[in-house]
Amino acid sequence: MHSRELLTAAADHAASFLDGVPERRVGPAEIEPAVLRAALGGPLPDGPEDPRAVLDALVAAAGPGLMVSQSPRFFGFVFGGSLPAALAADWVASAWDQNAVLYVAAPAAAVAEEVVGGWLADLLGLPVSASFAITTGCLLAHATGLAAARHHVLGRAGWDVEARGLGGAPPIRLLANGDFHVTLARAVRLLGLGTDSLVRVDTDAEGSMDPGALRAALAAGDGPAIVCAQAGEVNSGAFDPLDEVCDAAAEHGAWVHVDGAFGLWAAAAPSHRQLVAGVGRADSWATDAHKWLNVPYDAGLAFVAHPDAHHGAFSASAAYLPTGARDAMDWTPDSSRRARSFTIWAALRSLGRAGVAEMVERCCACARRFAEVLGAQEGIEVLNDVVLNQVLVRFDDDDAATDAVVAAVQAEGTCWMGPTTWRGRRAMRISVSNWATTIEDVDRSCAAILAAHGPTPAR
Amino acid sequence: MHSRDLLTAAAGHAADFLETLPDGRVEAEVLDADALRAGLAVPLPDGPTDPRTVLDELVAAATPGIVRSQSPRYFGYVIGGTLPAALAADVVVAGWDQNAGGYSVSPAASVVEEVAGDWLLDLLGLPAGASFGLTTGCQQAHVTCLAAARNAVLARVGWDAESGGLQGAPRVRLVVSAERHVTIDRAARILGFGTAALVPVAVDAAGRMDPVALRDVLAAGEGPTIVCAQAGDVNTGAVDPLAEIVDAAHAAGAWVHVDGAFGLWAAASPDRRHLLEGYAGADSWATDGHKWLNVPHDCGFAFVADPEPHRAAMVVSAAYLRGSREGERDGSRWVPDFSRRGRGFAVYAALRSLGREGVAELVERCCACARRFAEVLGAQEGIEVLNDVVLNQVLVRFGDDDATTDAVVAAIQEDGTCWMGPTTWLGRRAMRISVSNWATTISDVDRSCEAILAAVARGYDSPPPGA
Repeated sequence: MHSRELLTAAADHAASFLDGVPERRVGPAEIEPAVLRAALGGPLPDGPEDPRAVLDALVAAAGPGLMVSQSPRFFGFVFGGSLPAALAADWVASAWDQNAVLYVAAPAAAVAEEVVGGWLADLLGLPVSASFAITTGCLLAHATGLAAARHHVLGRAGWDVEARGLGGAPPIRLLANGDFHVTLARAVRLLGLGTDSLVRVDTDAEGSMDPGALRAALAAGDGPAIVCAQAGEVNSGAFDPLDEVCDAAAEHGAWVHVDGAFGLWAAAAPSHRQLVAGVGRADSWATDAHKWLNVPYDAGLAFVAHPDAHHGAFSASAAYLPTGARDAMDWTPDSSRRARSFTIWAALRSLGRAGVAEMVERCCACARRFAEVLGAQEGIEVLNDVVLNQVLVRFDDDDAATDAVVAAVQAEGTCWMGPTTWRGRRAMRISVSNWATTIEDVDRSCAAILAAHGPTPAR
Repeated sequence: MHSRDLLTAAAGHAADFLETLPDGRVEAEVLDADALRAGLAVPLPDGPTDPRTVLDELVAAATPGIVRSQSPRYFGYVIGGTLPAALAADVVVAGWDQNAGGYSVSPAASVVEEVAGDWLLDLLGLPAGASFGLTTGCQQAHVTCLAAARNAVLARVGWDAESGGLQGAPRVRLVVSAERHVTIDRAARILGFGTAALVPVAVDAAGRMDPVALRDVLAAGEGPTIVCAQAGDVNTGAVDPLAEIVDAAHAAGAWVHVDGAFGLWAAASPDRRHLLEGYAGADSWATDGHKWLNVPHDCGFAFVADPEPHRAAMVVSAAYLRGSREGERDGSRWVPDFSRRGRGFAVYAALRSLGREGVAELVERCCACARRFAEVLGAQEGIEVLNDVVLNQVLVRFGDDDATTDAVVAAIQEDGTCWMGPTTWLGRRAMRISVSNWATTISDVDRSCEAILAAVARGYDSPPPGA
C-alpha cells in the first residue's frame, strides 16, 4: 500500500530542492550524458526494489542533471516556474490520479475544467461564448485551434474533413507571420496540411506582421484560408496588429488563429492590454499555462470562438449540445489525460485577477530593467523594442563575442539565458516569466553578465 | 517562496486520500455537476488568496467528486492506479518542474527518458533498434505512430507528407479492425486521413481480426496502406492474430500498427506472452503507461521499428534552441508535444521498483483476478460470462437480459464495494470488468463477487439508506 512515510519523503525531497532554488546555480553542471547514464541506467532490474530506495536513488542520480528553471534567475526560455498553490494542487492531483477524459470518469476534474475555462476567457479578454480545451502545451493548442479552423473553412466549402480527410479537399492556404514559431509548423504537419501550405507574410524589424503584406497575400489567392497571427514573437516579444489583421482576414472570409504562447497574457495586465487590441475578434487562440501562469509542466490552452467547429473537429458524437456535463475528450486531441484543471484552478484562485496582472507587469518591468542596465553599457546593444518580457542583447556587435558572454554566464551560474539569432545576428535571449523574479534578481544577473563581458576596453 | 509547510500539507492531503482507498466506497460521493459547481465554481477572485487556503478549499470542494479509480476494487475502465514509487517520483518531478523537451533544458529528464525507453523495449520484447516517444497516452501514441506511418508509406511513392501534406497526396488506406478502439478514428481525423479512409476488416466472435478477410481487403485495393491491428480488445481483451496479420500486410507492402493500449503488456508476462505471437514484426506499437504500468496520468508510449520516419514526422528545430549533440536525446523530437512534463521519471521509478519480475507478477495477478471473476460469477445460475477470458477483461451478463444486466451494474455502482460499468457486446448488454490495478488481489475479487451476488439476490435494488 501507499505509505504516508514515502509521500512525506517525496515532499521533503521536493521541499529541499525548492529551498535551495533561490541561491542554487541555475544551469546544470556541464554534464555528459554518459555520466548521467552511469548513475541512472544499466539493464532493467530483474527483481523489485523498495520504493523509498528508488525515490532516494532517483533524486541523488538526477540532481546534477536538473535545469533549475524554477529559479527566479532563469531567463533562458519562457518556462515560468510553479506557483506554490499550483504545485500543491498538482501533488494532490497526482494522488487522485483522475482520468479527466469524460465527466463520468472524473466529475470534479470536469467541473474544475469548466470553471477555469470561464475564468480564463474572462481574464484574457476572449469571448465568453468561446469553447476551450486544456492541452499539454501550445503545440497541441495550435493543433486544436487549427483542427477547428480546418473543420470550419472546409465545411464552408462543402467539404466534411472529418469523414473525407484532406485528400481531394480544396487546398487550404495558411498565411502566417513570417517569424512564426516552430510549433505552428509542426501542428500544420501533424494535421496533414503540409508546410508547403504555409505562406510567410512579411514582418517588420520587430517581427510584427505587416498588414499591407497580409492583404496582398490574401488577395493573391482564393479558397479556404487561415491567418496565423502572433501575439508575442518568441525572440522580440513583438505583437502583430491584431485589429488590422482581423479586418483584412474578415474581408476575405479567412479564419484568424492567434499564437499567444506567452503574449496572450498581456491581456491580463491593464498596462499591457493595448498590445493585444482586437484579440477578441480572432477565431481561435493558443497559449500556455505552464509558461506565464506558472503552473507545473505541462498545460496549454486552446480557445475557439466557434464551439460547433471545435466540437466537430474532436467529438465522436454528431451534435454539440451546450448543456450539462463537460466531456473533455470532445474538445482535445487527447483521450485519457491528467486532470490539469486542478492546478490551473489553484493558480488562478491564489493569484486572483490582480495577482495575475501584477505578475505579468512585474516580469515586463524586469525585462525593461535588463534593457536599461545592459543597454547603458558601452559595447552592449539591445536589439529589440522591449514591449513585453523579451530582451535581445548583443555584445561588441560580434557573434562570437556574444556567444562567449552567453557561455560564460551559463558557466558562472548566477543566472541562465541562451543564445539566439535575430535578423542574422547572434544575441543573448532574455525571457522573464517566473512568478518569483524580482528587480533584485535582475540587478544581480546584470552584475554577473557585465562581469562575464569583462571590463570595457580602453579607447 | 515555496514553504515546506504548504508542501507537507499537500502530501498530507494526498496521504489522507490514499488511506481511504483500501476500505472506502469506490464510487464518487457526488456525481451531480451542479453539486460540485457549488464548491468549485466561485467567481474569479479579484485579489490573491493564501496558497494554503486554496489547497484546503480545493481538496474540500473536489474530493466528493473524485472517482476512486485508484481503489483495488475499481474495475470500471482499464485505468490502473499509481505505484507508490511512481507517485513519489511524480511528486518530486512536479517540484523540479522540468521541461522535458530537450537535453539542453533538462539533461536528467532526457537521460531518464532514454533509460526508461530502453527498459520498455526490452520488457515488451520490441526490436532493440526501435525508436520511442513518451506521449500523454495511447491516443497521442497512435497519432505519433500513424504520423510516422504516413511519412513512410507516402515516401515510398515519392511523396513528402511533411511538406506536401495530404491535399494532393496519393490516397492512404487505413485497414482497421471492425472492433478498433475509438482513438484510432480520432487519430485518423487529426492526421487528416478522415474516417472514410478507414477500411474495416471483419472480426470473429471474440473480436479478433479475420486474417482471411484482411487478405481480401488488402487485395481489393492498392496504393499506400496502413494496417491497424489490435492487441487487447477493449471489451473482450482478445488479441488479433498478429503473426498472420504482419505476414499478410508486409506481403502487400503495408505498414502494420498495433494498438496495444493495455494488451501489449502481455508481452511482459511469460505466462501471457504467447497471445501476442508475431507482434514484434510490426512497424509501430502504441500503449499506455498510466494503465497497466500504473504510473499517474498521463503517460503513453509510441514505438516505431524504423526510427527514420518517426524522426522525420516529429522533428523540429529553431534558432534559439540548441540542437542535440551526439548521444543526447531531445524528447520532443519523438512526440507531438513540444514543451512537456518529465513523464520519464515516473516510468523509470515504476519499472525500477517492480523490476522485470514485478511487472510480470502484476500482469499475471490481474489476469488471475479476471479469471477468478469469471469462475465465481460464471458458476452461478442466470449469470453468463460472454468472453473467453484470455487477459484482464471479463464480460458478464445477468438473466440473459439487457435491463437486468444494466440494473445489476447500477446497483453495484451504488453499493460502493466495487465499481464496474456496462457495455454492449455483440448486441447484448454486459457488465464490463477490467482488472489493471497494481494493488488488486484475489480477496478484492472475492469481496466484489459477494457484493455483485448480493445485489443479484436483492433483486438489483440498491441497499436501503443506512444499510
